[in-house]
Amino acid sequence: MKGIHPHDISQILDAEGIAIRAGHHCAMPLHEKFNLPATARASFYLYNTREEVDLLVKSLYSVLEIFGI
Amino acid sequence: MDDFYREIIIDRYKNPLNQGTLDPHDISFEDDNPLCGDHIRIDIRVGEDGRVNEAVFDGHGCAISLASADLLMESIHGKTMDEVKAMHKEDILEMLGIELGPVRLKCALLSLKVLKAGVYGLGEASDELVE
Repeated sequence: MKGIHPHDISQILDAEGIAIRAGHHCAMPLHEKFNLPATARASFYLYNTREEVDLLVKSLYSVLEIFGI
Repeated sequence: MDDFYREIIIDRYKNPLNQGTLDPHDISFEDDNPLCGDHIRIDIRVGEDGRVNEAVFDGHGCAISLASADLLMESIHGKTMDEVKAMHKEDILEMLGIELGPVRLKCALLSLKVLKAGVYGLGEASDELVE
């Protein structure tokens, strides 16, 4: 999401009850290689439901809205 | 969440009023937060009266850290070095007007840490500066 820092994305998703990871993910050298200050990562597993995926998408749109993008 | 990302924070993040570098400058210091990768540099020109004449920041980071830096630069205009040294984290939190958890508090206080390390003329910035 261009123009929005991963920590801001994760903070907003967290308020919706969605936990993603933001930052270097214990892979700082890789981020430096790609010249990335940080990244945001959502992971799925067996227990995730379709509703939760829908909520993730909806919440990503509210991130854009909050930042006026 | 709308409360956390107050309009002033989004606005200062997207359109900072005090971003840039000064050359020459009287004080310059930079540091980063290794946990999140945020980086802030602060340049200051001090007037003949010993007060902050110009203050700007540059760097990259999240909305909280960059908005804090922008508001902080504005707030130190006209302050003496002793007044800058006396600033603490409550001054930043008051400007932001939000409650922050321990992780985001570090984002908010990075600019104050850099500022105080620069004004004190330290070799490196420490968290104790903003306790």
